[in-house]
Amino acid sequence: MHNRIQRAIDSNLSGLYVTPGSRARILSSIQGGQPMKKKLSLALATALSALLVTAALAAVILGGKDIVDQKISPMAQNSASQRFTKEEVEDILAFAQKHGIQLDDNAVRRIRDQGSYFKEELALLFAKEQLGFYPGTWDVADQYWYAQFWQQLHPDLLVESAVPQEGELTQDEIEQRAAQYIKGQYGGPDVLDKARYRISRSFTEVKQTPWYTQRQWAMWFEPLTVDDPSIHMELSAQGDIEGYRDDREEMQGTPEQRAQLLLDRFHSLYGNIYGSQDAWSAQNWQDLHNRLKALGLTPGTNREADYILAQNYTAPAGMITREQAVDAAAGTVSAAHGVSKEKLLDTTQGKYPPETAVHAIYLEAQGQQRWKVSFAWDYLAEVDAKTGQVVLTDVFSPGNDHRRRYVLDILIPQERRAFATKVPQQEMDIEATYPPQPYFTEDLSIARPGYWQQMRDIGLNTHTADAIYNKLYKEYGHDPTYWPIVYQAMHYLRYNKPALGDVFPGVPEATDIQQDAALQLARDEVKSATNIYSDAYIDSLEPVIQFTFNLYTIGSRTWQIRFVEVDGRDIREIARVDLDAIEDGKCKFIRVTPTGRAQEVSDGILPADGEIWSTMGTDGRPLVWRNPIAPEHYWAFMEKHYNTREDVEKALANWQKKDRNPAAFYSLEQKAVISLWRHQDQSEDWMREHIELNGIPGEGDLTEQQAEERAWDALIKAGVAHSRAESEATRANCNFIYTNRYNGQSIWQIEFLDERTDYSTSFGLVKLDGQTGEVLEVVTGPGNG
Amino acid sequence: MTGVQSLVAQRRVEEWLTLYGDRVLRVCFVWLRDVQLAEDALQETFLKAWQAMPRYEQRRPDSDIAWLMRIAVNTCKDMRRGAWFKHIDRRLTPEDLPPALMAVEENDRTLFLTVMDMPRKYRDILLLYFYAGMTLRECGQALGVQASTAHRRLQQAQDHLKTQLEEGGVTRAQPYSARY
Repeated sequence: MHNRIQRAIDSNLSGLYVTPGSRARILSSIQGGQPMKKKLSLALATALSALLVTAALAAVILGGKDIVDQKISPMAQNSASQRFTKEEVEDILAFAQKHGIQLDDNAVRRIRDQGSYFKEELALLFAKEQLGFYPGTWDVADQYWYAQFWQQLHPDLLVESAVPQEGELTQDEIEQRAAQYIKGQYGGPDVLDKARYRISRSFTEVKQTPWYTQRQWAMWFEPLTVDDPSIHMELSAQGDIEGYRDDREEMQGTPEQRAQLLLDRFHSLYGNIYGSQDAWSAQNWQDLHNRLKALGLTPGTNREADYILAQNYTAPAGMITREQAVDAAAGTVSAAHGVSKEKLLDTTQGKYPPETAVHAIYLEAQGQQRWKVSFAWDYLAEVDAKTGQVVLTDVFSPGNDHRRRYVLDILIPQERRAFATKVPQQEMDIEATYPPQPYFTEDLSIARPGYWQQMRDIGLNTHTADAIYNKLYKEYGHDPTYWPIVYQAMHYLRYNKPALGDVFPGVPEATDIQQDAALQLARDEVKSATNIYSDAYIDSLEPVIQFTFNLYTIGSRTWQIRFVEVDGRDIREIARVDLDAIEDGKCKFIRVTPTGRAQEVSDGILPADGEIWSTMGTDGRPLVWRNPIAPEHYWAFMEKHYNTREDVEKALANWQKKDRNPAAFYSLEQKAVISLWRHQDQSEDWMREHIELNGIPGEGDLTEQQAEERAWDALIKAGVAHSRAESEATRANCNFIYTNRYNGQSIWQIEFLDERTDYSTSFGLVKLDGQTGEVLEVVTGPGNG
Repeated sequence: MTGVQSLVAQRRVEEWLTLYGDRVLRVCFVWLRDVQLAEDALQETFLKAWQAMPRYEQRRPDSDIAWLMRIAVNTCKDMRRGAWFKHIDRRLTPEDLPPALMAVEENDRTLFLTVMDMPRKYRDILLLYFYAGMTLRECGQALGVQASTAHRRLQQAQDHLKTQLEEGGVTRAQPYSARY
């Protein structure tokens, strides 16, 4: 399990690593002892979604939005700086005041204290003034409006917001649909009742591939009571339910589950009201204490619950007041830690909002009756609630138990309150301080100068990366597989340092066959290799193009072109061709998968059900019947058992019913019958030249088992496999084929598919002479694209 | 810290960044489900670690990674309690993951998404024990429960994971053949 989970996380998150830029920022913040300004997260941008700007409304009523539109937005675009200057801030505040729009006093004080202010944060404050504190709860029209403003400031930002279009449901309709679904599920609560639920929503448009953009609603119904379930849903733009999750099961679960849920619910409810647990009222804590007590929780199963159950929160008569406790604590902390008392108590100057800068909560446990006082999460004190004596002070540290600000120290193990460090105060602008850094260093031993020149030309560095990537996401989607090859190469190089001989994405040299020609060649190869699909169908397939260094041999440069059938979000590979870019596009590998939607079939006899059958002769049997490519014993067998279409239809139906094997693992007989009756759909002339039939080994031919063993030995010799035992992790797709391509008349073609990937990848493919077992070809490219 | 202490501390942080940075970042991502938040948390974790270095020198915990992870977990917890965090949908689909550099096998993708979708208490213990390499005692400290509870929770998490995977998490790949 250790290895599996590690591998799963590391491979899925391999794109997430400490970049050189990130490392430099961390180290510089350490050297300066200062945290960097955290810009608003991109997650915020993507959470801010859709709908139309209500321009008419803006024209009539002047609210916070209008301050953004009419004042902040034009001013923000006047300078490239991320911040408004002090003068600009004053100008905006005066403009707002003139029109009767005013932020609350504390916010204004904070803005002025900073001297300058981030543009988007000031805009957000005004937007919140009109639309509410949580942007997730804004109408998607307003979310979209703000996202657009943000994108004006940062044109390179990827904002995946969308507005419902004609034919898509509106926000109201979506919420009604979601509410109906919840009701229909289990007679659930009325989630549209604003007294019971707060609704957060988003509508996003995410380009998944060049051919598919997902437009989706995400809804979160957050209960405003402790007893209602929390519900998440995703719906398509047309209102199809694409995801649903609630916590009803946990609400009925074990006491431990219910305790955790209760804690989460209280955090959610009161966190939204107060911001921090420090600021909960004594009634809130006591209510939580009582509810946890009623669960009959086993002590030791939940530390947070243990703390809460161990404490009482209601101060009896005769205790000192909160104000007295805070005053006493400030005096002692000031003396003990060298910080002025005025500064501790001045809630207007701190780095936190005033309402969360100084906290005091009455706690009673193990005979102690105390006020726990904390100052801006920096200092702690415990004050005897009877005498007013300060009995403990300390510096609060990130290494401490984070509940230490509202739990008596006596309850907290020593090691959970042992670290003491100060939190730094100031900010710095990292962008201005640190120049851009490239993500790679050129190494001519692993690739030629032309490759490095193209990588340089992209201009990728720590400052440009976001813009370049966002542009690629917008134009081609989030999967690098579908990006132009030069960007695939860039993407690889950003996160890897290839060594000599590594297989990695590259770009062609000027002397190589170029992309358009390679694409045409690849299509032609597919057309000539398959007798399943028509040329028109192959022409209709979308190409997915990659260019790879060192794929076949060190120094090789290979076009890897897949042809895929696209149906909305579904992409199905129909063919894959590898072409040697150096040797004029010589085909190194080709695979055609017969699962595509065939467009045309032959002019011969068509089966009534419209399925594909081989081109039939006048006797109702495949035109290829009795072709000398196959030996007498094969034709005798076919005439005896599969002489008519009726015979074959019966057999096919029977196999379909009984045999659940993937087609790759059909028996040789099954493959021979299908090949003869279903896959020979070309003209007589074509067949004469190119015919290939799946056959059945006869006397003198290598048996299937012998062929499999020899093929595996060939893979060992090729360095792909190491031992025979390894073949247990594979399953062989065996084909005995009559063909003119090699000197003999029959070959074994055996591909070893990896069981661990459900046969979606291949160890390699080996072709052997059907009689002598001589190895004719070994293909060890990656399987299944 | 004195000049020398500061230099030693800085070297140590640099070394930790190299050794454990990726892992801490990925743990933060699993907790926070957002690349930028995870990067913020990573930065904050190392800054806190550096600031707490004098204590580290005094106490010399058994495991550096466990000590770092504990700071990371507390940092993520604080961030997760933030109001913004609660109003952003945090479920992951494969498309939400940062672009992977390595080929991700279907089974790994399924396992990862299944772990991510597990109830938080199960996910956290699996993450800390199997990925962060913490002992049960250290997991317990980081999660605020006793080691015995962590052990029990780990067993439940493994059972839960097994059930989830058996119940059809695994997506079957299309079979193929060179000729079929």
